[in-house]
Amino acid sequence: MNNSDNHMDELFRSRLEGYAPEPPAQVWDNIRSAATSRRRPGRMLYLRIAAAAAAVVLLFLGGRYLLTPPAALRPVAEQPAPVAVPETRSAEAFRPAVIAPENQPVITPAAPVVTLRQSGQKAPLTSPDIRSSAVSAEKSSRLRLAPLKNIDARLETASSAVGLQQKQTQGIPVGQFTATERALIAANIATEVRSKKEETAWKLGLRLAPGYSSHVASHSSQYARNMTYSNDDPQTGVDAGIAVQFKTSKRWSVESGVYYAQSGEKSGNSLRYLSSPNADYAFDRQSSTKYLNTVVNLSSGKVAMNSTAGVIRFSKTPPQTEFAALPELSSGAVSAMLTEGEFAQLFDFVEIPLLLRYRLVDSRFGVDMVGGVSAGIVVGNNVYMEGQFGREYVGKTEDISPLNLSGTVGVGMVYALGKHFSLSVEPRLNYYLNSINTDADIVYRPLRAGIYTGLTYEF
Amino acid sequence: MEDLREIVEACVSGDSRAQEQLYRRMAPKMYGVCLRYAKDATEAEDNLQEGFLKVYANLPKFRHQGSFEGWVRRIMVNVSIEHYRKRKQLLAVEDMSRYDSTAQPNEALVNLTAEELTRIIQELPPRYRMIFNLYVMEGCNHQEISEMLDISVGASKSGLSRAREILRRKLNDINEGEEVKVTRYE
Repeated sequence: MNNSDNHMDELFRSRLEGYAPEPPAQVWDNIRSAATSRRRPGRMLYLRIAAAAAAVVLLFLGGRYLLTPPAALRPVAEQPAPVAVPETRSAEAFRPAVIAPENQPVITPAAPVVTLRQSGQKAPLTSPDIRSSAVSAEKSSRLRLAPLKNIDARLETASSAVGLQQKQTQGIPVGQFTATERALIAANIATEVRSKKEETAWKLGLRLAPGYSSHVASHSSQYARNMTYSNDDPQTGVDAGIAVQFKTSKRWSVESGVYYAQSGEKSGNSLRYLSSPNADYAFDRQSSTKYLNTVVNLSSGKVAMNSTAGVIRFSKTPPQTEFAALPELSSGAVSAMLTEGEFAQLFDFVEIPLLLRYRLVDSRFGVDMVGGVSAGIVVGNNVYMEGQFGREYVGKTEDISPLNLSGTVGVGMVYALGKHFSLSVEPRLNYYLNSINTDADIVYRPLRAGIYTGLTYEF
Repeated sequence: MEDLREIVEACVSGDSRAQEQLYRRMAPKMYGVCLRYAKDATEAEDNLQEGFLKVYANLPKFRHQGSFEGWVRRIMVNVSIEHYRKRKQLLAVEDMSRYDSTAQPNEALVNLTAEELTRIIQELPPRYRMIFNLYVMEGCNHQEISEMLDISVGASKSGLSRAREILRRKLNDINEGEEVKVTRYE
């Protein structure tokens, strides 16, 4: 470096160091609106998740409300119901238990004798005036059913029957039930134990899900200026995986598992280029062959292309590719790539869902509501060129986030094939809650609709 | 500078008025920086906008150690380099011999305004513009420039040499009263 260089450098430095022109007013306006919109995504993501969760919960609660029999929602004992008393009992037996045999529960008239309880509701009963005149015939017939629903009475009796610790409290003497009542109570206990056992269970399922994948995308104007648009046709594919369910109650289940899923898009010749400033240079109007015309940047032999999902970095040049130099454009693009065929951008995901299921219809043919979120791990990011030479790997999409979050909703139809196996057909919609491309200029959210079909085994 | 610290802290807590205050205070100088690295005012405005958004996003990381202006300026330069690298402009093949000159810079430089000098820098081919700015204005060495621009050290040196030659030629043209031929390298 000679003195001349030093002199010139110093002159530039000294003259420009303090140069501070006022930027145009719209710059601050743009910054303010961009700053606001950048603050929103986090909040919006939270709101979206909350809204999705609220919708699923409301749906489930609504379904539950509509499908639950009204009787189950009513208190069982709205008014004191008289306890069935065997006719053989004399009034003497209900006198205060001044002299009672040891370990022999007795009824005292002054205290509540039995409580009726159903569906978790408790209604203390006042002591019936059992010394009063005889119960009417109508009452008798109704009272005969009372022990079936009267869990307290049943449990007290059961304790006696199986030799558990006898209640020291006042109650109906066990010996006062008739043989028919005792049989009914025993049957009730057996049913209750069995149904409680059946309420929780583990299930394992295999699923295949043919479906369509698409996307929701938006781009900054600067990025979109040189972008090759993908076609809007949804892509077909098959997802597959293993589902594990835990049935927490009669109607609710939690589901997880591991699924493999694929999303993608194709970019071909786009008529939009006919109206683009590059059309004259990139689109071969005279050619009988359809050429993919793509504005690309070339540097050190590397090719980069703006696509809908992000910047494609080519690791190799597609076969039979020609490059055409573009004139100096304000867009900054320098070349157009002419290639026959289509680009296929494919993203492979391993998804780990956390889903809630609610059984709307609980019978041999059941209907489930499903909703939840999935962690989507990107395990494949490939770009292929599909043309007359078949499909050939050409590169990958840049700035793809390895871990993403998606929301899932669906309706499942389940047909029980037997005691353990069931067949399910479940249309589901899966939408990524975040952009899988981390570039600030690109928002790209895959969207998939599939019919999850498979067999489930209940342990 | 105590008030600047307060403004920064208010910005961190999301105060939009403080963000505007910070912008008003720093933007003119940073716009001057962006103009030197850009090919035109539009690109400079884009870079300024992107740069300030990065400044706001990264303010919580600023530890108030060292010059805040230097920190902001670094972000603006990085945004400009990032923009340059993303676009990966192909350096136009140009007969550089027409710029070959042994002429010395003259008084024209002294008489030119900062705006005119900026415009002359903008007319440099993109890579040369980057190298010249980084070397002369930011004080980077060739090793640093080569890493920032993903080029060899030799390319950085020759780029600087070429940039100086082109600038010298343009200045001489101005001195001789010729109309400066604007050559755009997009």
